[in-house]
Amino acid sequence: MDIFTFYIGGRHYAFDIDKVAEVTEPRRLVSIPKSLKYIKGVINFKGMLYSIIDTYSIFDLEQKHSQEHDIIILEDENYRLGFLSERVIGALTIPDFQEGIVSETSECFIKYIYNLNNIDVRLIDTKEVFKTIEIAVTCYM
Amino acid sequence: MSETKYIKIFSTEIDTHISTINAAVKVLRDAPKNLEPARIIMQSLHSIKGISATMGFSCVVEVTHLLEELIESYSRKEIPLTDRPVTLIYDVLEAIEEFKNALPEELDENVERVIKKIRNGIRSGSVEVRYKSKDIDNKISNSVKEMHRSIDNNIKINVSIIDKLIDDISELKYTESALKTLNEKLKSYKLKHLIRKIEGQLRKLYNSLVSLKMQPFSTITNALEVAISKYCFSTGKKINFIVSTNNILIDSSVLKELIAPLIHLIRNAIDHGIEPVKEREDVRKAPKGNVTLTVKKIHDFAEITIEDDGRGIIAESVIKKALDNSFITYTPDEIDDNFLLYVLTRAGFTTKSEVSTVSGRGIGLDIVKSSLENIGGSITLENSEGHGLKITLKVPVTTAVIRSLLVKTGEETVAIPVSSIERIMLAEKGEFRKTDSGTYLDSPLELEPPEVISLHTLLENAQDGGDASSPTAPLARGKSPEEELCLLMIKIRNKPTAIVVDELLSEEDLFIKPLTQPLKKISSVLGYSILGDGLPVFVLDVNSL
Repeated sequence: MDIFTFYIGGRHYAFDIDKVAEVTEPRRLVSIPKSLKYIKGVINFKGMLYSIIDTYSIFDLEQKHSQEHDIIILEDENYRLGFLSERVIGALTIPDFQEGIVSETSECFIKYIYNLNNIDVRLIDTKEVFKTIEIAVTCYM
Repeated sequence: MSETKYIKIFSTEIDTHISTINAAVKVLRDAPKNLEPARIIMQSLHSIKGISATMGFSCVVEVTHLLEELIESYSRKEIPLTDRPVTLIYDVLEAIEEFKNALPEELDENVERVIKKIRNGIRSGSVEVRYKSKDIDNKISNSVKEMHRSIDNNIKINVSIIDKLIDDISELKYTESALKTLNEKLKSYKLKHLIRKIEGQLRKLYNSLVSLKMQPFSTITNALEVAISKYCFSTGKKINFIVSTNNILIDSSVLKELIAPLIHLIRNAIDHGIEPVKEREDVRKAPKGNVTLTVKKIHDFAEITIEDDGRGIIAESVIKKALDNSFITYTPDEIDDNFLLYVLTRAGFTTKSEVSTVSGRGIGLDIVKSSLENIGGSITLENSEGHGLKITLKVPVTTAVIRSLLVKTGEETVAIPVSSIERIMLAEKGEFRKTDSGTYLDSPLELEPPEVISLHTLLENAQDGGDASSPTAPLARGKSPEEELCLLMIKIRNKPTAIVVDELLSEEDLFIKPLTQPLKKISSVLGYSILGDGLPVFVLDVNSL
């Protein structure tokens, strides 16, 4: 299977490559009038509004030093989201469910952890992220 | 002439007679004793019967004949045509219309089935015909129809195509803004002239496209009247439905979203508001209740009021019910209309203890409120116990462009529709009066001193559910006490309020786009727009902050 990997807050994460639409260079985020848990702000990307997920807050990571972030753009028929990334690594092909490489996890928003060359790469469960954000927004309103 | 051509003539004729009958029924409902409308209805039914016989549509012939006989029997006995026969007339018209729409693919044995249904319906007093065309593979007939359609001067366009074109124009508008920004550096006179030309042409193009989407509000009033007539029949109440739409045009997408909330509110007025005849007579009200629908245009918004002269809302019992069922946990000292609206729009709240056939199924004002919010609208209520209820809906006439004021609050820029701002004024802090409940502006121009709140505090506190009017909140950051503050005078939930903004930037026509997931549910935001510099800006619905 193909995954799209990136690095943030000392960890490696990945998305199913089909979910990733594009990566954009750092750009200015505009705050939402009512700030919402997990959403850092919005950007205009090709004339459309994308909500930018604070990757640090959703995975409980520490931002060690201030820096600009690339934004990984995710799309499905209902959502337009972006995730902050400190460093984009790119596409990787990994063997499907091979012993010793992939393991299940109870970590929030993570589907599987892949051990690739002794580096743990966490595959993000985008569905769960979408759902949680929707619930968080509903609860705030 | 081909068969299809005849069918076209038949359809047009039928349409004319149906609208004549609709108009006559309307007159009839206001003056049931007047014999003239009944005569006109008979005449039109007779014509429908005639033309249907020529075409060989025996089912329509039969159904109109039965209806003719029924109306005649009423007229003979000099019984006024009341709710029951009127409902029947509507049902028959609906059935004829469905039959007509199913043509020409359905000239087969299915017709017999329709006759049977209508005939049984007429006899049992209710007609329920749901007739859908199935024989789609009659390709020849379809292609003939297509050919006729293609030579017609009028074409039907899906609104989504117009929306897409409007979107494209808005993209061009951003490009134009970018050119403008570029020319601020280049300072080319020629370029400036060209940009202005583009600006004018884009505006023209935009206006033409928007006008294509506009429809008169009255397009939906007929459907509302039919619905009302049916509710009256099933509840046994007598209603005068008065409509005044003032020829107002509304974006068809807004209009579409309004149908369900309006039917809901009118249903509520009939079912909960208007008392039964006996009860009305006991309190010396006319036996017939009044439900009035008025539409007015105020700037970029349409104000729709639904007013009834029923019993109004008994606030005390509503509050008690809400407390008992934990929809609310506290009550303020004074229960005003705003609080009442707040309670009534809590999700799932209903006042009716039993489900009636018409309303009271637990789907309450909360649904109305959220569907209005989807189109950037709002709802207010004026209750007068024992005398009636007035509900006002405010919706944008068109969802696309709203003239807005760009203001700065903290680091961010937000847009506020110009139509919601009453005045802009400057004031020194000396003009403010601090009390325990908040800061107020001493202004000789205002009847009620407006509360002074900074936009920043308002937005920030809204998210914590905190008290936006905290007297300790600073009004303007980074300003010395002597400096004048910029105030936007607006009404928040009908209360005069002076909103302090850090800076006024500019006034612009903004192309408003609706919010998408996951931001769809954010309240107090009408939508977003993209500014010339490419940054998105949120357009606030300040009146509901």
